[in-house]
Amino acid sequence: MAEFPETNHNLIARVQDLDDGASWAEFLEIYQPVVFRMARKRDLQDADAHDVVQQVFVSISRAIGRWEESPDKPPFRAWLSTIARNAITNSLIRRPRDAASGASSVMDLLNAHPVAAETSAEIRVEAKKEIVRWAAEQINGEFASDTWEVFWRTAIEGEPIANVVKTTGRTAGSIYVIRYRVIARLKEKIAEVSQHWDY
Amino acid sequence: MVESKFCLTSETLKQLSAGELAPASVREIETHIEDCAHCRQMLTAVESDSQWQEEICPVLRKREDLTFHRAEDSEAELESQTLASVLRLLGPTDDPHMLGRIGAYEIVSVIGRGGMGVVFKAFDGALDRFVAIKMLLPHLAASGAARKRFAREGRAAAAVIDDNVMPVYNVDQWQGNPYLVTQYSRGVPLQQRIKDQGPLEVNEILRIAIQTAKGLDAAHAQGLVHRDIKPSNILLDGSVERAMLTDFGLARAVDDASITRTGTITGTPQYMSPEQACGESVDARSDLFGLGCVMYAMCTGRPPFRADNSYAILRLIADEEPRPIQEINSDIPSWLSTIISRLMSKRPEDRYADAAEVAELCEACLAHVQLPTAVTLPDALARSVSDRDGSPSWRKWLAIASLVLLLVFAGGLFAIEFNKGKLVIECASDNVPIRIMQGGVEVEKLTVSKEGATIKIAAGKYLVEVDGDSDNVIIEGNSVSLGRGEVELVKIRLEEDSVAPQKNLLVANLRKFDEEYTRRYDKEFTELCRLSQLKIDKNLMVGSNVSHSQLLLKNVTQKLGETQEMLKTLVSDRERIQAATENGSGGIQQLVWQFRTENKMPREILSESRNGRMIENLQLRIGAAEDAYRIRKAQLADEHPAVKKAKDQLDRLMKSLDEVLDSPEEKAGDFRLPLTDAEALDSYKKLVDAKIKSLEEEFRVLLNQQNDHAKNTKELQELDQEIDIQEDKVQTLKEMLRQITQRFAELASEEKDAK
Repeated sequence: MAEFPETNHNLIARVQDLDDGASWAEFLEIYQPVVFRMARKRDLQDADAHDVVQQVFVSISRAIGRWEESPDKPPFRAWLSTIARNAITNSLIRRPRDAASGASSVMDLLNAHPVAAETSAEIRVEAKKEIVRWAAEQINGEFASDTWEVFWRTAIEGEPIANVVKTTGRTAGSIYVIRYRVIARLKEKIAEVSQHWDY
Repeated sequence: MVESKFCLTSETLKQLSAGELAPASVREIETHIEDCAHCRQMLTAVESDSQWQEEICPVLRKREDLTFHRAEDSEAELESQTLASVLRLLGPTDDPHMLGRIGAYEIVSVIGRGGMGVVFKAFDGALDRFVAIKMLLPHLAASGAARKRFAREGRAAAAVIDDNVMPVYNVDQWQGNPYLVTQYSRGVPLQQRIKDQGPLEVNEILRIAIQTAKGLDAAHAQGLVHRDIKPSNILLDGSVERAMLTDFGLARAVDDASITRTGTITGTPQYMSPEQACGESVDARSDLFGLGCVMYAMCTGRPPFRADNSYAILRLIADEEPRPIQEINSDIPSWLSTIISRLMSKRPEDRYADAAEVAELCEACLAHVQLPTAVTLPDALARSVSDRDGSPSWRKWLAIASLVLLLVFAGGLFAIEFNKGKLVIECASDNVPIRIMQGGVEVEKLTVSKEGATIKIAAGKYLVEVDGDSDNVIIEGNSVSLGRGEVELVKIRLEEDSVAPQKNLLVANLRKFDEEYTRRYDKEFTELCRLSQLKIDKNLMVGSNVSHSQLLLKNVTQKLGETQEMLKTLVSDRERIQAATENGSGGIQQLVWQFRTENKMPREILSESRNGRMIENLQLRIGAAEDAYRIRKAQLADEHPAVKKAKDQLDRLMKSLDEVLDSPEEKAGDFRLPLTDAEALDSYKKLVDAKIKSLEEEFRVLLNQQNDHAKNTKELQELDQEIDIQEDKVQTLKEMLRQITQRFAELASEEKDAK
């Protein structure tokens, strides 16, 4: 079963210690969209998906204080993924009675119940994507807006450098340097976040 | 492609991504890679791996259509807005790699932001080095007091030169927002170290404490108090592990700003000293308390005082002792906690005398830790340690002995001898019925008063309970295991109202604030009254001065008029004499007749010589007298300088009187000062001083004018006298003229007779 890999103990301690607002906020910022998307992909409406997100993280915040490291217990990530999975499953089971989707029957929803391993893998994939988006959002402010634009147009949208040279009046050399600096920084940030919130 | 000296190395690449290359070097690279395919490839390698190609780029390219809308945290929103407002302040830059410009500094990036300020990484082109720029947030800089304090404390901090104090290079303003330029360091704050690693090793604790104390000593020597010593303000400089103190005095500037803004304390007061928490005056010894807190945090991995809210923390700081260090981390030697306890004494005078003493003591301790056998602990500590580290049995004996002594001296506890064991009961209340149970069976039942009780009882396990229902009584150590010949203590106390002390503290603080406010206000009010009185006195004085001058001038003018009148008469007389003389003897006769009819010329005086020469002589003298007369007349006319001067003076005096009379309202405007803090009071005093000075100046000018006036009056009087003299002369001349005409007449008749 592809569970979360082991993680840095001090960081677990930081999440456990809910006083450390920064860590908890970072955890939420990355995992809330993940849970939200998983719920939406299971045909929940926007508002219902938000409710699921709230339920999942309230139960995680309650449970997280109880986690204790011990050799015979599952590692933190595995444990966290179980909590998340249970919370999502619970939310989805309780949901159908007031779900607006007319086509859904209890059987459909039962079939849609995430199988444990699949859910784990899905959380993993979604978290990985979310870390990339989140990291990009985080470092955006570190660069001047036209610098970021040059990076985005050439490196992400694949616009030829010659085009950008023409429209911005920058030298090709400076565009290479910008791309290099932004990408290197983005990778650095992703590595840093992944270390905290490994996928 | 031939490798040139411009070709990239992995080292320059690292520096390029870390933003550590000077702008000139970056431009060199930009130019170089346009020609050098090899180096271009080195740069693009970063986007040719699978991580970029498969995991990052596709994710960013695909717009996520299922967006999760986070409930916006208003605080975070505010923060991003203020950051945006700071970024808008930056000046334009020509360098595309920079965010903008502050003064002469090119801004590379934002390295930190908090509720109070923003920290930029910047490049100082003139000195070719990176610096850190700390700028007060614009909305805080709107408070004049905060802005001035920020600049002043910054300048004071710049004067502290020490290895353990972060150097401040420059203090300046950018578009009205003050900023500090300090060394750029890639060090880690102590806060981070403690968070990531938990409690530190003893020798590391000592090393950081020594360096912090030395930094403090250097600052204190300049009369600068940090006021905000905490782990996040101590920077551990990477390579050499040097501890540097940062943000000197900024706490004070920030206090000003946040108090002006919300009237409450912001931020975490976890490392405040008790005197700060109580709002009392703060000196260098407050920093020693802070140092103690920092050492506590290094020993235990957590701040000494923790609670849910700021007020609860303040209460803990003021009234409670922190949890003993050894309870949290038993690796800490007791002498170290002795040092920390003394630093954290509630009363400043119980702490060490100064930071230098702490540094010295910690250095001696560090020597001991490094060479325990060769170097002994400092005497003072060794003594206190031996007091604490006795053998366990001896300690127990001491505890019992002191307990027994306490019982005997308190006189309130009975001791009844029994051969098995003793149960001592202390009670904070009267008439508490209790029962002592053993295995569910009641052994003893009694009522305890404040005097307590001692029960001799067989060894065994007992449970002490309240007999009946007394909700507000708590029994501490109610489960007793009594050994043979042992003494066990049971305490009965009342349940405390946990809110009351906090409430009392708040009420006390409120009262203190109220008193302080009244005191300041009274002082200011008295000052205002005094000044008003002074002004009124000055007004009166100037007023009387002016009326006096007016009177004088009136007199002068009157006299002048009289003089002129007199002169007119004299002139007409002279003209008549002249005309008579010109008309020859007939005219003279007519005049003589006229004078006679006017009773101006007695006949008896006409008995003088008949010499023609004498007549000539007299005529000459008449001419001279006429000249003198004309000059005097001109002098005494309206345009005479003395009169003019007197008039000018009167004008001036009138004007200054008007000014003084008009000004009270305008000047009163200046007294509407915010009664907020000592600084406002200070500047207010200066204003008052300046006003008194200007009033004194005005007064002096008036005095001078008065003197001038007196002088002029005297001059006018002299003129009057001179006119009198001239008048006399004219009279004499007139008489002479009469005599002369008489002589003429006589001569004429003699000639006639001779014919």
